[in-house]
Amino acid sequence: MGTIKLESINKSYKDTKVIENLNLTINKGERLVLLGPSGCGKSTLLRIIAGLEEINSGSIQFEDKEMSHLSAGERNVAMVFQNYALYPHMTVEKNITYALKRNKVPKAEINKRLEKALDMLELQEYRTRLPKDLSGGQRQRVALARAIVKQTEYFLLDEPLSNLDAKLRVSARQSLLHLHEEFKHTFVYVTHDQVEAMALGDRIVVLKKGEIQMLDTPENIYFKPVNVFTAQFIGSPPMNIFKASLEDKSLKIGETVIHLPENLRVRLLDYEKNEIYLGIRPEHMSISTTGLYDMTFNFVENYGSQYGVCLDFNRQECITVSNEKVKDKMVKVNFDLNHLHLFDIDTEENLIYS
Amino acid sequence: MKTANYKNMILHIILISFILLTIYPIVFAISNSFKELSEAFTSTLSLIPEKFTLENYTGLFDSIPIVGITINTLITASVITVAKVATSFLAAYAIVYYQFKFKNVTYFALICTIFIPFTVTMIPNYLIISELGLQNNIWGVILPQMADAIGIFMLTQSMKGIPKSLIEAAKLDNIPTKYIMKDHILPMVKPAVTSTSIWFFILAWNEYVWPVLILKTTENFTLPLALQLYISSEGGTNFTVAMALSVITMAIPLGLYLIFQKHIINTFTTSGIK
Repeated sequence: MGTIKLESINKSYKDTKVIENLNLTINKGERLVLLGPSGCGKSTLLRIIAGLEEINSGSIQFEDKEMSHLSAGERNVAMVFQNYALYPHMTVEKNITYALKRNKVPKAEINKRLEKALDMLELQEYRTRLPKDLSGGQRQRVALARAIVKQTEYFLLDEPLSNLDAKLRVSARQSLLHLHEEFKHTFVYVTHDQVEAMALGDRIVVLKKGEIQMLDTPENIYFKPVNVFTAQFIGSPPMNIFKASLEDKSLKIGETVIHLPENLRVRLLDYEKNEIYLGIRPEHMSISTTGLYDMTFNFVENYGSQYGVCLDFNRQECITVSNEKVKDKMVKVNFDLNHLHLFDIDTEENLIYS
Repeated sequence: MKTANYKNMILHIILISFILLTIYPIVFAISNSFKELSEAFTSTLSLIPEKFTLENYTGLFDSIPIVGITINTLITASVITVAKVATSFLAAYAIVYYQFKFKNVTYFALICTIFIPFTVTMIPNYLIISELGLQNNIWGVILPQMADAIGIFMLTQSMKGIPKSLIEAAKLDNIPTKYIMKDHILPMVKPAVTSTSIWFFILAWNEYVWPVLILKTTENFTLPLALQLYISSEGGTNFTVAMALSVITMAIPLGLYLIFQKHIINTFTTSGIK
């Protein structure tokens, strides 16, 4: 029990295609994060797994058992909603036990599960309160408790932390990790927050317009993005992408020649187009007096621990991070050559890692 | 400051006049129901009877089957109210939570029936009830009134306010539809259910034209019809008895209101807050 397999899933609302021919296998006990901007179909995908949305075609299997024709109730998954979906007229205790009672779980068993969930999520003192008398964090924990007591293999979470403030989000994230350690559910987690995705995911699916852009570990997604979209979606500030020209196998941004290391030059041997995208993350650029490239200083953003320095490189904007506030009009910048990315000008695919 | 005071005073005078206008007929009815007939004719407008009598009430019991009439009215109004709320609830649930073809057209058509005047459906309804042999029977009064688009509208609006994810959460937990309705929807739309129930009950309680068409004999009458006996030429002289009957007619809804008062006021104060 625990594997979820999606095969050639198609979903459209009237004429709008939301998900097109999607294949995805979610391993038993892993934490898989569906990440993407709003409208990319990540919530729809989760709701398809839960059985709350019907698919136009394709197959959904839970451990080799076809599920697509079963109703949401029959699939036996637990889900935490973005707005928690607590029953407003029921106390915390009733919210947690309601479904068990209606599904005729023996009373002693219900009580056992209730007490365990209340203890785990530190909700004992709130058991007789109504949801409206709870804070956001407490409500979120009740929603989790309600999901836990179902004791199912599959845990679906639809942006469960997005309504919490930043500080609470960090602690809630940790309690989610603990929860997963304890039960080893198959976690499918939807978020638009890349930090959350990085922190929680064993693997991350990056989605754009209903299509999977990349499915890999957080490290690979960060360091080896397969295309421009993934590269720019992950990381804050986002990766800088320069449009560069290729003349006689030398790469130029504006009039400046960029010196590529040998391993990258090899990649360009069979690239026949005249233009290419060069990508580099802000943290892999450094301002230094020995820098090779001259850039004009635009403005600076304060991030607290660091400054984001916005620069102009031959009329292309870019951003780097620095520990010191830059005041000069012209700065010299170095590139970390181990972290350069080259993307096809048309397909936007990474020429190094794809 | 002075102009504000004047404004206040004028406002209060207007408000107090409205209160008097509303209350006076009620007090008038109560006071005359305890007067002797002769006194009622000589000093109709005086509020306190010179000679207090219960004759009008006892007379009522002697002249018409008042207990039966009251029971008829209670049955009619209660069954109509329960039926209207039940059908409205089910219809609203279907409209809000099910997807089916022509849903919006169906809903629109239902709502349109609100604008059809009673007089238009009166004759077809009468013919149907006659065919069914329900003439002179309170079920003939009840039957055409078991559904009401206003109720569907009110409950649909109220249900639309419930977040969809609540229902989805219940569905994920394998809760059958009947329990979703009973355990979740009903408690959450209770304010709307209560206010429409009150509205339907009062409408049915006071209804006159339709029962007049259907009910023929006194023992089958409802209270507004019985009241008519004393206003028409047949009993026109029995003015004080008519007042006694009026008091009975309004006492029951008032009594019910007092019993459920706490509940009803809760409804009206919480319904605005989501």
